[in-house]
Amino acid sequence: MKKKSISIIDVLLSFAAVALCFGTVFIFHPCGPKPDGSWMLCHWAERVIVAMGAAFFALCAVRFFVSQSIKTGISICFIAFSIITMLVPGVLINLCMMHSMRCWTVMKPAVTVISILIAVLSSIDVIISIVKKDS
Amino acid sequence: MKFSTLPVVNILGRKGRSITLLVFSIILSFSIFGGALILLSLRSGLSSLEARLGADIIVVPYEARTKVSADTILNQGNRTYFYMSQNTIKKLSEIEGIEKISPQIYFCTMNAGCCAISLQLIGFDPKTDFTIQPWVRESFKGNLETGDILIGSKVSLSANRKLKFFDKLWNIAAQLEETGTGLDNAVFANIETIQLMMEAADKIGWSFTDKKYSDGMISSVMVKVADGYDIDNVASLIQRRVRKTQAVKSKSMTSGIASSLASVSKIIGILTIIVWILCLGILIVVTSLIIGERKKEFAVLRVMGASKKKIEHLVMGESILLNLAGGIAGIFLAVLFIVPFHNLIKTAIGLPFLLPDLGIIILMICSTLLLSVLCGCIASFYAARQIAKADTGTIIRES
Repeated sequence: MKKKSISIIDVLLSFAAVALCFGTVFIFHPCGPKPDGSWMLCHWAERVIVAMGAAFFALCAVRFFVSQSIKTGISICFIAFSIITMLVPGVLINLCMMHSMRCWTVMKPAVTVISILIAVLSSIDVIISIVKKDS
Repeated sequence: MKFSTLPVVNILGRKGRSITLLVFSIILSFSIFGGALILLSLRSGLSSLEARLGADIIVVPYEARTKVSADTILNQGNRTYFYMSQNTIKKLSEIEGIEKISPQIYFCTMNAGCCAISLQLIGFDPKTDFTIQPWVRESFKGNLETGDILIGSKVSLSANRKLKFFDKLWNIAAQLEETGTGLDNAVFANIETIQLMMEAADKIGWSFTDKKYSDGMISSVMVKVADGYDIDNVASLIQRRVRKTQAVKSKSMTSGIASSLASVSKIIGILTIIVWILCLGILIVVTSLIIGERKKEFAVLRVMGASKKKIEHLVMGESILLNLAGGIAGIFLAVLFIVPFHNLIKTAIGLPFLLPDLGIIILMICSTLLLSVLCGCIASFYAARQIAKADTGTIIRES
């Protein structure tokens, strides 16, 4: 049976996933509902990001119980999914017309930062596992 | 193993020690680069604001004197409108000391369907304008036809290149470059187009003014003072000869912002220097302690044949590698947090904020990396010399 260990990268990725999922709902949420109760475009981008964050969190939880080779596979997937998550607000799903609104000034930058951090941490994890395997 | 690879082996061999030094190096480069980027962006924003104002004096209706400030119109893009008779232009043209005059008309849209705020509409006369067109020419070199609009950088460009105001579609001729001011949220058109918009607004019951002007209406007149004439004197002359108007000097509009900017810049500068000095001090102390702990390691290397110079190079090599890595990480984090959030920073500070060009940013990156490596060298230089001079025999006997 291959040795399982929890590394600092596992912990950091979990924090990033929590930030993406819960942070998007409670902290860097986009514009609220309109007076008539309907939602603006950015609301749907928020929902997709929260779903992506939940998926990240679930996979991060799996990382604590699997071997290094499976972790490496998960990290490779994280790199691709984090790029897609970064493209959701403003590219894949339109946001509000004015770039001075909350969805542009708060939600999109926060999602960009967290996605890049996830991509970088996952890349470091992949590189370390390749180097360990070679040595 | 080669001696040249020893710095890398030592760094990877004691991860705890290396991460401690790396963290301080990251904080150092983050504070230097982040502080410099914010300061340069504030300065660029103020220069952009002064360039956009263009005119020496802005003549507005007397009742609108409190609505006209660089902060409300150019910085925060406040949706405002006020009017006076077009006859004001004729009266101003008779005043001595005025080189150029150009009227502008302000209007604003209703709350658009997709968002909860309205847009500032600014109409200008392409034949006489000297404030908006020099800036517009950077992005749009064609002729602005009636019915065409130019949108600021923060107004989303739709796929069909049209925007709907007052139940009519208007063709987007171009999107303008970012200025870091409230003008990024505005829409520009020639005066005829704005008048068509006003008619369209009137048709759908959007009432924007009770007053009617038989000879046409404008919101403001941009005035350029001729060379050799004092701006204050011309402004006073305008106040006396053109009734029910207020002559607002551009310099007085920007001086408030300039002094706020100076205060904010001072605070950021002082904080950056304090963090830099603290980090450098801590780096020197921690490096000395770590190198002191490794006396036996270096003594063994000396016994194995390494010269004093090689030991010095080993210590400096480790320091350079760690600080280079820390510098890159610190700069990456600073760019990651400042560039995406620059709109939020602008709103929070309440001052014009324009990120510098890519060339300047690259120069700043190189300078910060150099400074980071230099700080590392300074931190380890004294300790490296001390350890190289120490007597090998004494150290080995002590163990």
